[in-house]
Amino acid sequence: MNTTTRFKIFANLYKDSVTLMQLGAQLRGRDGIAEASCLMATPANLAQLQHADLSIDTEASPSDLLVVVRGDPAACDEAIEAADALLQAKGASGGGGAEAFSMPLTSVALAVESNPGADLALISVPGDYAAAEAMKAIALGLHVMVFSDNVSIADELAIKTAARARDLLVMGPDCGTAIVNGVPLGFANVVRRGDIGLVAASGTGLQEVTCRIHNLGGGVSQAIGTGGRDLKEEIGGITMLQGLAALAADPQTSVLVLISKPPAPAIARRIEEAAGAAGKPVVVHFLGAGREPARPGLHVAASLRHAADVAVALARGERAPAAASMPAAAAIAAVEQCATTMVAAQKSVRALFTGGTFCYEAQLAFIERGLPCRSNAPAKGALPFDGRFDGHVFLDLGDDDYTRGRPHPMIDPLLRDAAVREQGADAQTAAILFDVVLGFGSHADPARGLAQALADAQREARRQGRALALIGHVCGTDGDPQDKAAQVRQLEAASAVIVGSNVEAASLAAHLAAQLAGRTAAKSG
Amino acid sequence: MPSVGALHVQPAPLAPRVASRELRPAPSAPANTLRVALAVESIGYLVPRMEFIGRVHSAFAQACNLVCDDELLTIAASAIGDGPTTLRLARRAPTDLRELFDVGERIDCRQGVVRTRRAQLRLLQARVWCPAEPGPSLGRARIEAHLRNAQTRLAQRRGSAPSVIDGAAAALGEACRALDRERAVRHVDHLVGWGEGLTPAGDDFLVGLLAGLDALLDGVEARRQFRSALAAAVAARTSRTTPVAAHYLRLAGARHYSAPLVDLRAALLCEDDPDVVEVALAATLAIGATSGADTVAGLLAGLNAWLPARSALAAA
Repeated sequence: MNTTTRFKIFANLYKDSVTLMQLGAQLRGRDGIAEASCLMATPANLAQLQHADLSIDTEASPSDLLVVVRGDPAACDEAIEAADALLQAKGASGGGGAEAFSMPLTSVALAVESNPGADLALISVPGDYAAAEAMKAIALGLHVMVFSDNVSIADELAIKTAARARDLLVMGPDCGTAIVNGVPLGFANVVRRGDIGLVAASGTGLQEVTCRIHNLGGGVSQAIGTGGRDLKEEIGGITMLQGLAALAADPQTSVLVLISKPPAPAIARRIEEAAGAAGKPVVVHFLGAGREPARPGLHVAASLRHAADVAVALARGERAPAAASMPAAAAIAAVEQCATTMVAAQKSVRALFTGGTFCYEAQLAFIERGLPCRSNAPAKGALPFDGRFDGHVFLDLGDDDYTRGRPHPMIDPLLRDAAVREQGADAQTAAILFDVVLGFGSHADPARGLAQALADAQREARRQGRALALIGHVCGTDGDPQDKAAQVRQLEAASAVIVGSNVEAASLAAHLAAQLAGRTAAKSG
Repeated sequence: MPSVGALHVQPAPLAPRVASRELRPAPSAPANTLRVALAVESIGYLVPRMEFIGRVHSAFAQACNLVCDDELLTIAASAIGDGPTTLRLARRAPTDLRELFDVGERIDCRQGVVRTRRAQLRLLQARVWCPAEPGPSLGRARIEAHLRNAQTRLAQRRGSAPSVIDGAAAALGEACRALDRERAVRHVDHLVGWGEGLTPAGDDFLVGLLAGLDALLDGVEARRQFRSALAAAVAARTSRTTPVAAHYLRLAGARHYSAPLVDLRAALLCEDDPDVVEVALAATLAIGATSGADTVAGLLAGLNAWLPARSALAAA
């Protein structure tokens, strides 16, 4: 190939290091370019160009920017032209009218350069790299949401400590849900803006509560995710405490809601102390923890649904309602009617969840009723799932065991649909308990495939002479892109009983399980 | 030092060779121009507080460089951090400094108020940033453990792309250990201005190295003389690198460093809690494309060069 070397000197032109290195890489990647360099024209660098077979004869000075390319003559001319257009454009880190050659934003620094008003970075890269990217964002003065999982707890502590020192917030790692200034981030729903602020160490828990607040007519000021490990001893609840303080100081927030799986006791005390001093009503729901208020001003909720109910009531200046977990009488009657046609072998509930917190909360409904259960993500009092489908089994299909190398089931529900068919065919199965999570990030029409799978499962059960109870709830709002009402209709058309919240669905399934257990006991008696 | 912290910071060439569009004079502001008031959170201890005149040398989204006499001052977004010659804006200051400053326009500071055509900064209320005095030094074993961890993190940061300067940098570290001035100057000669980026990697390394050596002078005359010779060699070669790198090399020669580097050095030598060290290290490594990593490499080289001998002296 006929090759040549072309260069251009940009006198007194100053670009940051990241831009220069990115530009060099981009030039090297162009067709017909064998080698390229974009650097400041210092004597040392000019000498090094000789080693790279890019030697040029020029009198450039160290304050000049030098672009050198070697390759096909026409390609060299085009590359220099493109570099010129990009470097001369205002805000030359990308965009800025550099139509001939637009550099992608390949770093947080470049993104900030091109959009200086941004104050939050959403990090979603493989876990090994997430902490470093988060640290860069913090150094740039950005709040951070780390969607990535597989970040070590030592790294989580490091980034949260660094952020706190700069009065910045780190949501995550493994934070899937947040709503910041009305903007849904990750898996989040379209909810009304209002005066209830939330901080949660649970993604689907946050979705459930924000959706119910919206469905009750309330609104959300901010919904801050912390990541699932924030309330562990090692992290100390850094993000939850920061979020709580921010919402306490936020004039748009009149009621606070805190949600988490049970924290370490010392952390729980610290959070309760901070919540007690917030100067605003605070609703606390630590799933599976005690229900007695720890101190004045705190309202301890019994379920995700109850947390939303209490928050909306307090925001309206009303008394906090008592906890309720059972659905409307019609739903109970439908399931009890189904139970009358079940055969003796049918005694188990198979719970197939896409939301981890839903799986956890559902187990609690069974444990509270003394019903033994197994799970791949066991709540306190449940047994670990050993791979055998025997008795009540609760699967969190979003757990790492099921998502390694495949999308989360909220995004791609095929795995859950297959599990529904499989468990429906099991002679032990009396009921299938499920969730459907709508909103941004979720599948565009999750009910469609699930309804088909439920219908198939019901058909197979009938072929075997059984009836199946199909119990579920749809977490979402009327504003979500999936059209919640249409989703519910599809599921009900497949003979599913759809109730208003996860705790209602779980309680209904537990009610059925208790009935079936009583039936078995009566027969053996 | 802002050379590693200021991703977009450039000092002015004192006598630009080309009267290019970058340095064209900007028209004076009409008397009734409304100015944006920028809140200044802190100013470096070398920033004049009351009176100065200068020009905008270069403006980036998060930093704007001013040339005042022979000095470079930097108006920087909060995220860039403190430095000896930095005017650090409050966190919620207006975002894109390019919208407020034109290259070449005149800057006046009178009675602690900086004025340009479209911006105004009050310096008198700003906190003056100075590096904190380091605490008592850790024992040798603890420091060595911190240095080993830092070296590992640096290697992870570099991944499979070692810096082009690694060979010369290691050789300079050895020369420092041996207090071999002649060899050291030879390597400085190679390193100044060498490497990709706005602040070439060799210069970033040298700034870190000087910071490391400064921490372990320990009143030893031979070391003091070696350090002086090294700084003089660097100073004599600053015309061979970019203006921004030259500025920060000059500052380093006079023992002035930016907050991230000072904090990391203090953490490595004085902080028992590895998490604190980790935070300081990560913050420095995160700077720029490779500047932070090259500076950390220099700091570790300087500390490793003189730490063992220091212990031997202490034992003696």
